[in-house]
Amino acid sequence: MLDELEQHHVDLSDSRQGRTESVDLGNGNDLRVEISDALSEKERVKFTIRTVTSLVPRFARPEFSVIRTHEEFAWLADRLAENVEYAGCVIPPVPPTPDFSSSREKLARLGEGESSMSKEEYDKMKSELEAEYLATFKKTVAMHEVFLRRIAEHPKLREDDIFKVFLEFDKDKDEFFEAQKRFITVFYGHLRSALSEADRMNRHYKATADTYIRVSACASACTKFERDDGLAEFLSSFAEFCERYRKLEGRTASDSDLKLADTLHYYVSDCNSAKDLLYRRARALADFESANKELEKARAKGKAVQKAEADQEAAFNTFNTISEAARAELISFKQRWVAYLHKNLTELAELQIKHSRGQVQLLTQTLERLRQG
Amino acid sequence: MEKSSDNSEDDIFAETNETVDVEDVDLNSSGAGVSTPAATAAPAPAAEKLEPSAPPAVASAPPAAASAPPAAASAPAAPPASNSSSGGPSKLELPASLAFEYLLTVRVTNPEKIGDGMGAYVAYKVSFSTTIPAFGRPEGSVRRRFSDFLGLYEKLHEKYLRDGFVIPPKPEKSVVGATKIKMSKDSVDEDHFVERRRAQLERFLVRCSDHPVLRMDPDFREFLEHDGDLPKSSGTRALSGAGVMRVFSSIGSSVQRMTYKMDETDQWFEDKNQEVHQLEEHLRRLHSSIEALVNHRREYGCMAEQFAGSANMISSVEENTNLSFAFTKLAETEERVGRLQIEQADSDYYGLAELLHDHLAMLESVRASLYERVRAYKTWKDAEMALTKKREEKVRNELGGKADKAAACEAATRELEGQVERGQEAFDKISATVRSELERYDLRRGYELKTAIVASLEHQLRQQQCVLEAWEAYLPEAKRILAA
Repeated sequence: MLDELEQHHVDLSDSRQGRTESVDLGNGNDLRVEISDALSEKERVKFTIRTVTSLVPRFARPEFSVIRTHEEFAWLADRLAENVEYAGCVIPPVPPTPDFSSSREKLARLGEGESSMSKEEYDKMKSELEAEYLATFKKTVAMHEVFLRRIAEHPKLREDDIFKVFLEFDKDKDEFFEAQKRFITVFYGHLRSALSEADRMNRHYKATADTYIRVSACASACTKFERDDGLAEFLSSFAEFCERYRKLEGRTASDSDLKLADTLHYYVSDCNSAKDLLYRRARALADFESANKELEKARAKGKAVQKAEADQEAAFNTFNTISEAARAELISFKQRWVAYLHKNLTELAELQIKHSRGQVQLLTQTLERLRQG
Repeated sequence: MEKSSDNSEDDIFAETNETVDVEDVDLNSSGAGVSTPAATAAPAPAAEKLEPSAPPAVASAPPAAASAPPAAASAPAAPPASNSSSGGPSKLELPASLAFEYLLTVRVTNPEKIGDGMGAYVAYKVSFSTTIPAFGRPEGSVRRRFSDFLGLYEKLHEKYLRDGFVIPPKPEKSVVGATKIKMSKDSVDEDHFVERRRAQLERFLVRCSDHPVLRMDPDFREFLEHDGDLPKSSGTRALSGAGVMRVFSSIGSSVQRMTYKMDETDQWFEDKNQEVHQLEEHLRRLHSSIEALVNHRREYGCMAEQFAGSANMISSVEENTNLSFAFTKLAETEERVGRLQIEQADSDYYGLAELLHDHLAMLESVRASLYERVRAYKTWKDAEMALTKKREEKVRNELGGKADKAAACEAATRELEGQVERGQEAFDKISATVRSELERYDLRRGYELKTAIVASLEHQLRQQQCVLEAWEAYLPEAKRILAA
C-alpha cells in the first residue's frame, strides 16, 4: 500500500482553475509565480514552479518553468535572511518541511493490521488515510507557493539575484548539453584508438599481400634451374597462384581500409565538429552572462542603458539560437551516423564476403591443379 | 548478396571472374587425367606408396594441422579429390623411388619438462610403427632427450658420411633456447621454442627412417627401440671442450675444401656443384620471403585482435542499441579473423619456413658428401703420385746400382699399386653413392616442398572458409543497424 503513495502525482487542477491559460499582465502583475505541479517521490517532493513575467531583459524569457525540491526553497530563504541589505525587510519565513511521516506510519500500521479487520473496515480506513495524505500534500504545496508569491510581490526582494536564479536556472537543459559533451569526449577517445588500430591492421594486411610478390618471384626463380620438370611446373603454378592471390588479398585490404578505416576517420572528424559546436554554444552562453552583468552595471550607473539592453538582447538571441539549433543538430548528427555506419558496415561485410569467396575459389582451383601435377 | 550499385565494385568483381575463367581454361588444357603417373609405378606390396613418413616431416606443424596422417596404411591410390573443399587433405604421390617395401613411421610428441633448476631438461616421446623384420616389435615408444638425438646424429655422421651419404641435418642446439628452458621464464616463448625443437627432432628422425641405409642402422634401431635411457654420449653438450674442438676442425675442413681443386671429369658432378650453389641462393631467398610473409600476417592478426578491443569499447559507450550491438559483432568478427590469421601464420611458419630452413641445412650435408668424394679423389690421386714417385725412385736406385734399395722400392711399389687400385675403387664407389644420394635428395626435396606447399594452401583454404563464414555471419548484424 505504501508504494501507491511513494510516487504520488497530485492533481492540483481542482484548485487551479484557469491557471494554465495565458495570464493578463496588468501593471502589478509583471511577475507571477505559481506552483503548477507537484510530484511526491519516495523521499522528497518536487515542485514545478512556473513563472510568467514581462520583465524580459532581466529574465531570459517571458514564460518558463523549473523543478525545485524543498531543500532549494530552504536555501533561498537562508540566502535572503543572511543578506544584510534586507535587514529592514520582513522576509517570508521558510515553508515547513513536507512531512508525511505520520500518514506513512498510519498506513503502515493499517497494512499490518490488514488481516485482523474486515474488508469494508479496511477499505474505509484506507480511503480515510489517503484523503488525509492528500490534504497534507496540498497544504505543503500551498505554503511553498505563498512563500514565493510574497517574495515576488516584495519590491526589494523580487530584484534579488538569487531569487532570479531560483526561478530560472534550469539544470536539465544544460544537463542535456553536459551529457552530450561527456559522451562525445569519451566516444571520441575510443573512436581514435579504433581508427589507429584499424589503420595499423590494414597496413599489415597490405604488407602481407605485397609479400606474395616476393614469394612469387622466388618461386619463379627456382623453376629456372630445376631439373625436375614436374617440380618446375609445380613451382611455376605456385608462383602464379601467389600473384593472383596477392591481388585478392590486396583488394580485401584496401576495401577494409575504405569501408572501415576511412569511415572511422570521417566519424572522428565529425565528432570533432560536434565538439566544436558544443564549445561555441558554451561561449555564447558565457557571452550572454557577461552581457547580463554589463546591463545591470549600466542600470546601476544609469549610463548607456539602452546599448547595454540591446547588447544583452542580442547575446541572448545568439545563445538561444545556437542552443536550439545545437540540440537539433546533435540529434540529427546521431541519426546521420547511424545511417552512414549502416551503409558502410554493410558494404564492408559484403566486400569481405565477395573477396573471401574469390580467395576460396582460387585456393580450391590451385590445389586441384597442384595435386594433379 | 545485394548487388552493389557502386561501379568500381562491379569492375573488381568482373576482374576476379576473369581471373577465374582463365584458370578454368588452363585446367582443361593441362590434361583431364586425374590419376598420376606415380600410381602406375607404385611398388606392388600393400599400398605403401602412401605416406611412409614424409607427411609427418612436413606436417609436423602443431595447431590445426589437420594433415596429421594416420599411421594406418589404408590410403587409397590417391587421386586428388576434385571436390577439394572437403577437410581431408589428399596426399601427393610419393615418387616411386622414394618408397620402400617395408614401412617405418616415426613420431616425436609430448615434450615434458623433467626436473628443476640447472639439471632440468625436456624429454620427448619417440614412437614408431614398422613392418621391418629387423625390428624386435611392430611398434613401441621410448623417451629421449635432446642430447640423445645429438648422440645419434654423431654416430650416424661418423659412420656414413665417409661413404658419401647425405646425413639429415642435425637438430639445432641454439644455446639461448636451452638456457631458457633451464631458467624456465616466459612460458609463451618457451612453448614456441619447445615446439620448434620437437618438430625439428621429428623431421630428423623421419628423414633417417626414409633413408634406405640409415633406417637399417643398428644404432638408429636402438634409439627407437631400447627401453630405458641410452648411455650418455660424450661431447654432445654445447659448451663441452670436445664440442669446441669440433667447431675448430670443421672450420679447418671448410678451408681445405676451398683450397683443393679437383680435376673434374664427370660432367654430372660439374653441373651439380653449380646447381647446389644456385639452389642454396634461391632457397635462402624463398625462405626469407616466406618468413616475411609469416611475420606480416601474424602482425595483421594481432592488430585485428587489438582493433576488436577498441570496437568493444565503442560498443560499450554507444547509446544506440542497434549500433552498439553491431560494433560488438564487428569486434567479434575481427577478433575471429585475427585469430585465423595468426593460426595460419603459425602453420606456415612451422610447415614452410622451418622446412626451407631444414633444406638449407640439408644442403650443407650435400656439400659435405660432395666433399667426401673430393677427398676420396685426393686420396686416390695422392696415392697415384706417390706410386709414380716410388717407381721413379726404384728406377733411380736400379740405375744407381743400389739393388737392395731397389728391392725395397719394389715392395713399396706393390703396396702403392694396391693403394691406387683401392683408391680408385673407393672413388668410383663413393661417386656412385653420392650421385644416387643426391638424386634421391633432389626427389625428396621436391616431394617435401610440394607436400608442404599443398598443405599450406589447404590450411589456408580452411582458414579462408572460416573467414568467409565469419563475415557472412556479420552481414545481417550490420544490416540490422537500421531495424526498428
